[in-house]
Amino acid sequence: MKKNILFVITLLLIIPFSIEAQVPRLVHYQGTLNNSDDAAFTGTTDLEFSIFSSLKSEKPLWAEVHKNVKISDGNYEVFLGSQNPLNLSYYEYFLEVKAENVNSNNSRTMIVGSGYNFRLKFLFAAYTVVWVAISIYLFSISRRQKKLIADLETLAKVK
Amino acid sequence: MNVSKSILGPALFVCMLVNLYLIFMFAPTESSMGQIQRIFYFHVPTAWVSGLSLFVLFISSILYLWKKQRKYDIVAHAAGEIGVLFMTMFLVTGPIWARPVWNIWWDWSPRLTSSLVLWFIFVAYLMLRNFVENEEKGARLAAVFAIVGFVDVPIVYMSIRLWADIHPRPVIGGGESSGLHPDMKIAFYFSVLTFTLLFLYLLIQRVRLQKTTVAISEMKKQIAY
Repeated sequence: MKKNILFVITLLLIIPFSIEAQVPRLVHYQGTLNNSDDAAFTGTTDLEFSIFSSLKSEKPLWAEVHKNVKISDGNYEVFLGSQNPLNLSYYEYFLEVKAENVNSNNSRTMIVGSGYNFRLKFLFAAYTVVWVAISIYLFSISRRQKKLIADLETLAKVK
Repeated sequence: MNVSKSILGPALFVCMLVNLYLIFMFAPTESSMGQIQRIFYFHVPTAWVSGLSLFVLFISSILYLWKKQRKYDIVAHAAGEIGVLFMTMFLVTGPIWARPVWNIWWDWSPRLTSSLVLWFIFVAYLMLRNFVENEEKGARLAAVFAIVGFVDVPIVYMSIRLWADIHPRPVIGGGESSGLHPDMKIAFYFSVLTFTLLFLYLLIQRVRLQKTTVAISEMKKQIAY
């Protein structure tokens, strides 16, 4: 009984965590790039992406450079986290993009929606709480039952 | 034949695995909350099992006071313990969901407060059972306490329907604006089924344990005479 319970619990805990390991920590980002005269930029350039915890913070939580990004009529797309793994767990982020050799506007953009996907630790915390509580309870029942049966046998002998 | 071991146990194991697949892989990711919304598939079923346990406790307590048969008290005690276990789980998983979504762990809203009060009532129920030395008297007192305490269950259920609350409005049976994606519904109902089977399994195990305790107690009395 105990071995069966242990097997089930181990399996139940391993499966979701292995699923978490498979979740790609990438954010698909589509942006626009204009020149200082507000005209859409076309060509290739290096883009530096930085994520900050607030609008004014100076030290980025994460940064990576994408080389030779193709930009057509000001539009481009990249996968953030493809150069430098994204392992952030803050509630909201601010993304700053700097373009090499292009006099672009470097203002920060809030990326709340993408950040939500990195809240998996809360999901797995809840999952763990549920199954650990059930496991401990099952173990305690199994243990108490075993002890009581031993007591019952001893009493039967006395009787 | 041991039904819980030969049928319920294996069925529960299969359901748990399927449930994991449905929750983590099949159910679509919610658009505004993202992955964290998947806590819903544990949180609501644990709340459902809490309600179910307390309903079984309520009915068993009435039957015990009416028929004065020990078997009803045994079921009541077992259901009360399981109810507290599941209430603890939903009181813990709720704040884990709330922290990233509301940015706070707890709010003294009607739903959260009445749920916490319910937890205290049934923890007190279990303590009462242990404090009264006379078993029969303890069982009677506990039965009355459980019936009175059950009044809080409909209050918890109706709180988000009656009063303004930070807690999300009901997505099942919550009116025209409520509802779930069809795939989410499958994952949700299957999770409720799995947790209900788990409740049955735990109840059978706990009743068996309580019966052994009673058998020992009676044997001790016989030896003493």
